[in-house]
Amino acid sequence: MEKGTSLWNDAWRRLSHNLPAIISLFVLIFILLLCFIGPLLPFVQSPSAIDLANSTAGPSTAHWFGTDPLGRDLFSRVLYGGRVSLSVGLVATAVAVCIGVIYGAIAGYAGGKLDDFLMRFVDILFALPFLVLVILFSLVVDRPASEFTEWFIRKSGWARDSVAPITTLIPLFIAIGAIGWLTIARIVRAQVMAVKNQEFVEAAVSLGLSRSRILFRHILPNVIGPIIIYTTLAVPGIMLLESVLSFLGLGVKPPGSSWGILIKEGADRMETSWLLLFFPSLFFASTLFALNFLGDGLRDALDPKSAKD
Amino acid sequence: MTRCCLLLISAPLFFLLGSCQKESQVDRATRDGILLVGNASEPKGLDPHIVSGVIEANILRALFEGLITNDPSSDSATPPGAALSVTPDSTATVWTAKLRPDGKWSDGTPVTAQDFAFSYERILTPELGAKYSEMLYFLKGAEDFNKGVTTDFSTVGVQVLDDLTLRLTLRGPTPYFLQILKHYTWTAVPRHIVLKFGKIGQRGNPWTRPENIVGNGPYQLKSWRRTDHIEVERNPHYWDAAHTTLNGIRFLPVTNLYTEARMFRDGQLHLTYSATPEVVDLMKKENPAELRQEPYVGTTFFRCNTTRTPLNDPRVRQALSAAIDQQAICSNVYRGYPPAYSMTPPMGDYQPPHLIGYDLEKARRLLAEAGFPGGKGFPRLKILIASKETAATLAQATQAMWRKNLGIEVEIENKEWNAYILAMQNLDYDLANSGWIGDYLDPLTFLEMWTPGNGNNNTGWNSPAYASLIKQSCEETDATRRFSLLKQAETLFVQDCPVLLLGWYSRNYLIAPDVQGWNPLLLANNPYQFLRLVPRKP
Amino acid sequence: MIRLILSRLGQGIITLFVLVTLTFFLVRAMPGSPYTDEKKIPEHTLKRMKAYTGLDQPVPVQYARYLKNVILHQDLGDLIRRDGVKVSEIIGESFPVSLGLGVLSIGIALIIGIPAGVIAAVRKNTALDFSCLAAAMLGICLPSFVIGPLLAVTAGLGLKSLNVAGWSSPSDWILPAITLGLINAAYLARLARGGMLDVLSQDYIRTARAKGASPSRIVIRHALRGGLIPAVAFIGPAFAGMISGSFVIETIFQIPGMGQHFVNAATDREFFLIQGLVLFYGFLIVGANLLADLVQIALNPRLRSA
Repeated sequence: MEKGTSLWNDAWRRLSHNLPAIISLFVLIFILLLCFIGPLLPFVQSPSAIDLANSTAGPSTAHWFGTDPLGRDLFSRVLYGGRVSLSVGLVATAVAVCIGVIYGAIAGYAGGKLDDFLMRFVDILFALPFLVLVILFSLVVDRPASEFTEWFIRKSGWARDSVAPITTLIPLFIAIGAIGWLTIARIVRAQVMAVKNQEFVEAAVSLGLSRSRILFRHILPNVIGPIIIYTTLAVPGIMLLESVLSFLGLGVKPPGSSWGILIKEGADRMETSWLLLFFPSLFFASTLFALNFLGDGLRDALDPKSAKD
Repeated sequence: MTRCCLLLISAPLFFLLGSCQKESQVDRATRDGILLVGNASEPKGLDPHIVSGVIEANILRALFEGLITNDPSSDSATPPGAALSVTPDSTATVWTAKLRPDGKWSDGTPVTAQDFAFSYERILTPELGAKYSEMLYFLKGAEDFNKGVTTDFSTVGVQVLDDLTLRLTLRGPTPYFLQILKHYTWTAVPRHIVLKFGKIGQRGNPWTRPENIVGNGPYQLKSWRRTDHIEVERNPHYWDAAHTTLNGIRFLPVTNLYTEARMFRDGQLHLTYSATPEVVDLMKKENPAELRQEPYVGTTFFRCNTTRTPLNDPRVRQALSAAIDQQAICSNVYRGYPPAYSMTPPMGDYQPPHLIGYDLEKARRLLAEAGFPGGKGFPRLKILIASKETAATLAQATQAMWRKNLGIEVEIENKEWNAYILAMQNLDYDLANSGWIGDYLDPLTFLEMWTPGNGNNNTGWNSPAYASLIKQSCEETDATRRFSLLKQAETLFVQDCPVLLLGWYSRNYLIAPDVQGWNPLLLANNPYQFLRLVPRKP
Repeated sequence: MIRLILSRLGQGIITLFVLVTLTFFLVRAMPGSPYTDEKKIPEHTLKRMKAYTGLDQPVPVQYARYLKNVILHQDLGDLIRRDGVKVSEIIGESFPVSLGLGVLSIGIALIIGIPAGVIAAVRKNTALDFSCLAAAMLGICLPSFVIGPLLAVTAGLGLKSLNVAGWSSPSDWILPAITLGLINAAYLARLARGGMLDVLSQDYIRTARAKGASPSRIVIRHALRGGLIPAVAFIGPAFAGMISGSFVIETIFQIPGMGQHFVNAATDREFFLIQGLVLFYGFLIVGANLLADLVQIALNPRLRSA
C-alpha cells in the first residue's frame, strides 16, 4: 500500500497534466479574485449609485460594461453579484453535498430496514411542495435574521453595509443546503450499493475493520467520482435557486444583486440591450464551464483505479 | 429504445414540415373574423356575481350585457343595452328601466325584468358570498339584506312593474348611476338556467360550465380549455346580432408578458394585455405604430402606515412625497405613466386640482421642522414590495432619491404576494408600494376607500373631516356641487399625504393594424361586437 | 423479487400518508389565506365563503373530512379561488401535457447526453472528449429563462412555421422540449462519462480487453450496463423534477402543463390544490422510485442478491 501523501501527489501530478482542468483552475481563481478583491480597487464604482439620466448606456471608459436601466455601473454590479452567487454556489453546495453524501452512504451501506426508512424520508421531502416550504421558512427566519444582524452590528461595531449583505444571506444558505441534498443522497446511495459487495470491501470486512472505517475509508473513495461530478453539476442549479428565492424575499435584498438576478433582468431585455444579458451570463457560464471541467479533471485524477493505468 | 426515441422526436418535425404555412395565425383569424386577445391569466370563473377582476370582465363583456352597455368610442356615453331606456326621477334616486321586447338569452328565452330582479337578489343573498356585492349597495336596503340584517328582499329597492319594466330605488341621489350600471355586477344571469342547476344562494353552481352557460351578450361560449384558451362565437339570439361585425374572440391566458409580446410579434395575437417597460422600449424602436400608450383609470403610490412614528407626522409624509422626482420615476421606471398630482386621475368632467409635485426645498424644510434636519436621527424605514413586476426597480429608485435628496436611508423588504397583502391589511409595514384601479367612471371609486374603517384604506389614516365631505357628496343631487365637495375631499387627502403619489396608470399594449374600431377608453372596457378585422395588404 | 416489490408498495402507502398529513398542516401554517385579495373581502362575505369550503371548521375537523373524502370518495376537493372547479380536473387536464413534454425532453436529453458522455469517456482527454462535454454542458451553463427566450426569438420568430409559444399544433412541442432536454442532457452526459470511466478501469473490462475483444464490443456488451448506473439513477428524479418544476418553461412557451399549478397553488394558497398536487406527485415519485429500483436491479446483477 502506498502512503497517503503520495496518493495526493499522484492526483496532483495527473491533474497538472490535464490542460483543460488547469486552464479551468486559473479561470476560476481569476473570477474569484476579481469578484472578492476587485471591488476594493479604487476605480470600481458603487454598485448602487443610481443615475437615471444615464440608463442602459453602452460600454464606455467610465462604465466598462455599460449601465443598467437605473443607470448603475454594470461592471461593478457583476462583481458584487458574483460575490453573492459564488459564495451561495460554493458554500450552499458544500453544505448540501456533505449532508447528501453522509446520508446516502449510510443508507446505501446499511441497507435493509434502515435504508428503506431513510429513503422514504427522502421521498417525502422530495415530494413536499418546495414553494410552501420556502414561504414558511422565510416566515420563520425573517425576524431572527434581522435581529441577528442588528445584534452583530452592535457587538462588532462594523459598518452596516459590510455586515448586512452577508448576515442576511445566512437563511438562504440554510434553506438551499436543506433542500439541495436530496438528489445527491440518492446517487451516492446507488453507488455505495453497487460498490459494497465488491471484493476489496469483503477483504476489508474479513480483516475485521470497523463498519464506519470501511464506509468512509474504503467505499467512499471509490464513489468519489460521481460525487465530484454531481457536486459540480449542482452548483448552477443552486446559483439559480438563489435568484428564485430572492424574488420570494429570501436572499439578496435590492439594491443588492446576484448573477442570477442580473441574468434574469438581462433576459427580459435581450432584444433591446443584449449587453445586459451578455456580461453577467459570460461570468456565470465561464465559472460553470470551468468548474465542470475542473470537476472532470479532479474525478480523473482522484480515480483510484486509473492510478494503475 | 433509441429508435423509439428517434421516432418520438422526428414525429413533430414531420408535422412541422407538413404544416408549413405561409399564413400566420393572425392572418387566418383576421380572414375568419376572429379576434385573438392576450388576457393575462386564467379567469377565476364566468359567473358575474362571483368573480372580481379585469381578466374576467374582459370575457364577461362578450357574454353578458347589462341594462346599459359600453360605447366603442366614448367613456361617458351610456348607450342602452338590455334596456331600451333607464330614466331617473327628479332627484336621481328612483330609476325606471324599460327592457327591450326583443331581448333574448342565447338559448332563445326572452330576457325579462324578473331576470334582473332575480340577479340582484342573487348577488345580494348572503349565502352566495359574492365578493363584489358592495357594488350593489347603491340600492336602497341592499346593504342590510346582504349583511343579513333582514331576510326580506322586498325591503330592497328592486321592483318588477311588469315583464319589461324594472324600478330601482337607490339609497340616495346618484346622478352618475348609469356609469355604475355598466359594471358587470349589474348584469343579469338567466334565472331559468341558474335555478335549473342549483339554488339562488348556492356557490359552485355548475351553470357556468361550458356545456351549461347561457348569456345575453353579443357572444356565447364556444370552447374552453383551461390555461390554454377560451373562445366565444356570435350569439344568434342577440338583439343586435345583425350589426355584429366580429365573428368571435379567442382569449389566451398568457401570464408571461414577454411571451405575450413575442406571440404578438410572431403573428399569434391581435391584441396584447399589457406591454412591459422593456417591450415598450423594443416596440418604440422596432414598430411604434403597433404600440399604444393610453390613459387608464388607475393610480400608483406608496401607502404610509400613519399609525407608526415618524409617519404619523404629516410633515414627514409631505417631505417624503416632495422628495420623489415623479417625472423621473414615471419615465424611467414606468416608461410613460403621467406623474400624479392627485389621487383621482382626470376623468370626464372631473378635473382634479394640482396639489403636489417634486419640491426639494419644501421637502428638506418639512423634514427639518419634523425634527430631522438633514435626515439626522431619521429611523430606517422599510419599503414593502411584492415580488412582482417593476416594484423592485421603483423601490430602488426611490431609495436612491431619498438618500440623495433627504439624507435618509430606507430598506427594501420583498415579500411574496400573499404575505405582502397580509402585511398591508394588518398595518404591519412602514411604506408599501401599491396601486388602485377604478371600478367605474366617477371620482368616488378613488376617494371612498380612504374613509375611516373602509376595508381598502390600509393606512390607518382617519380623518373625520374627510369622511364628512364624502358623506355630503353622496347626498348631493347637483352634479357641480357634488364635484366641488369631492375636490375638497381630494385636496384634504392629498395634502395630508397618507399615500405618496407616484403616477397615473397608462395602459401600454400592442395592437395589430388589422384591428379597426378599437378606441382608447379610460376604463378599457371596449365592446367587441363593433370591431372590424381588415386583412393587411401584402 | 415479489416480496421486495410488495414491501416497497407498503412503504409507498405509508410515505403517501405521511406526505398528505404533513402537507395538510404545512399549508395551513402559511401566512395569508386563499381569500387574500387586493380589494379586501368584507367580513360577512368572507364568513360565507369559508362556510362553503369548510375552512371555517377547526383544523382537526378539516383534516378528518379531507381524509374521508380522499379515501372513501376519491375526492380531492374543489378549488377555492376558482368557482366550481375540481382539483382532479386540473390534474387530469394538465398532467398529460406535462407527461408528453417530459417524455419528449427526456428522449432528447438521452439522445444528446448518453452518446456524448460515452464518447467522451471512451476518448478520454482528447479534443473529442472536451468538445462533447462542452456541447452537452451548454444546457446548464445558461439558465432556462435565457435559453427559452433565445430559442423563441431566434427559431420562433425566425422560422415562419414555428410558433414562439402556445400548445395547439404538434410543432409547438419542439422548442420547449429542446429547452428542457438541454438541461438534462448536461447532467446525463457528465454522469454517463464518469460512470463509464469508473467501469472501464474495472478488472472484468481489463480481462475482456486482454482477451482481445474489440473496443466497441467491450463498450456495448460489458461497460454500458454498469457505466450508466449514475445516469439511470438520475432519470427518476429528473423526470419528477420536470413535472413539478417546469414552471419557467411553461410560462415562457405558454404551455397548459402542471408546473404552473405547483407555483400558483402555493402563491394563491389554494389549499386543496396543493394537497392534491402533492398527493399525486407523491404517487409518481413512489412509482418512479420503484421503477428506478427495478431498472437498477436489472442493470446490476450484484444488487439482485441484496
